[in-house]
Amino acid sequence: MLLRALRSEGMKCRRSPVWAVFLVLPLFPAIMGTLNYLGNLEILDNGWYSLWSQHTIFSASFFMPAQFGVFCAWQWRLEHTDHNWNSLMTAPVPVRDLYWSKFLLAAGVAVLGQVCIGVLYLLSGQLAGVSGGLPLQLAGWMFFGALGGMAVCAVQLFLSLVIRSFAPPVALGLVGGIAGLVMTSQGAGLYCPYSLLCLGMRANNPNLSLEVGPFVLACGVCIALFSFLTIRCMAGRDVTTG
Amino acid sequence: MKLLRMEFFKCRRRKIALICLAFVAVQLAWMGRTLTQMEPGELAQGWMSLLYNLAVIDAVMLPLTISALASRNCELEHKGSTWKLWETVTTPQRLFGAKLAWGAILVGGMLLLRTVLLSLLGLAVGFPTQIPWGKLLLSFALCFGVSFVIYALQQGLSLWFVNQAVPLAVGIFGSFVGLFALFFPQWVQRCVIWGYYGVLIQAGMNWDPVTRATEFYWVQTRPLEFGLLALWMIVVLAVGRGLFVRKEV
Repeated sequence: MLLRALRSEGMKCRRSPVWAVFLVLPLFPAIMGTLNYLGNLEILDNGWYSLWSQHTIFSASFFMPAQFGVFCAWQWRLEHTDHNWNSLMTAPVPVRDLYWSKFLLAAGVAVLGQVCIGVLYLLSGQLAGVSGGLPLQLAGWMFFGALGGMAVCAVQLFLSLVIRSFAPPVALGLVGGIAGLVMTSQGAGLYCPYSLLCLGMRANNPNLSLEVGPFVLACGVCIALFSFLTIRCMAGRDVTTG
Repeated sequence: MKLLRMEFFKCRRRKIALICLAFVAVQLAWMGRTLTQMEPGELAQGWMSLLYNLAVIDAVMLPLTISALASRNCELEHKGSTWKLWETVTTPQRLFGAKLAWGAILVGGMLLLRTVLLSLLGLAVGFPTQIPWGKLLLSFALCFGVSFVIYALQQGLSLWFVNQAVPLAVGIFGSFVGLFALFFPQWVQRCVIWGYYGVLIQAGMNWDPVTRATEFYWVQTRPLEFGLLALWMIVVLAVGRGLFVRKEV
């Protein structure tokens, strides 16, 4: 049933260019990060690692949470408009499958976002003529970045379900990103869902280090908690249509 | 005035003030953290530091906040399919103007509150120099001017597109560009409206890479920059209004 629900979510997404946000917007931090890297070569002398820091320095903290906010708000917007809640909740599909299909699609977009960032990073490095071998850790940065992105998606899906308007959850994504930056700088990043993206991608992290165990546990707890809250909210609250 | 009152009544229960208050709260928290971590020796340049950092924070936060405000003010018309109703009682030009005026009141109120609270924060932190009233007022006015143009742009987009994901994506893009433009020369900043928070900044910073010391200084805004902002305003308003007036309802 989950697979069928996921397929229907894919069909809803197919004709909407909302996923294009994740293809187009990473171009700008890539271009500007590379130009900034080339302009400060005397300070940024660590080759590929310095280039990664410039690509992710702002996007992971400020903009990616808002991008996830747009996608998650768009997913629920389809149900909030017209009388789609009636159709959705009367379909012979368990509520948890309805939720997980949306979450899995958002998780796919989080992976797509990381792949885009990774491809642009490699292209920029080649074009900028960065010396040295490719960083082998790139796959890890992208994998854990996607995991952190999924935690953010779980929060944003909950917010977009509770708040029936499009814009406020997106704005909260930006606020969350800023709060996440502050929490990370205080060393408490694992306790804030929005910091997890930053931590996973090793943005603003000169040592590019990560304690994998606690990080994975924090992501798991965050996804489980907000998924539970969302499913509970869907199952226990009367729908409002129109 | 009647249309403006209507805008107020339409938005009355939409909790728009919450977005504005959240913006002010985050800015206060951010600036509070920055200012309270200043060394005693740096306090002498506190007001300049405040205005410099504020422009950076504005470049990150305002484009997306403004896009959320504009989207909130316009999406109810799409949701309720009220275009036909409105165009039987008034002209699209007047409706566009009323929405813009309502947005200007919201953005102006939000920025005024923020300026007052940050001035009080500066006093509470205990900057030893006198409050630069002129610079604070000019900074507020210029920030409002840039934000008004961005609001006009976002309103045009939110009225044009039924799917509010597009204007909000533009808002995110604006925040991106606004922040990154600060790292580029001024001619680059002038090419994008979101870069004007940096173009019209009232305080500059010199950073010595050897001593790693920072020194702030006051910046005089040139008439050319006012002229460019006015040009942006005319273009954005003309295009947004023109598209809305020609829109099929």
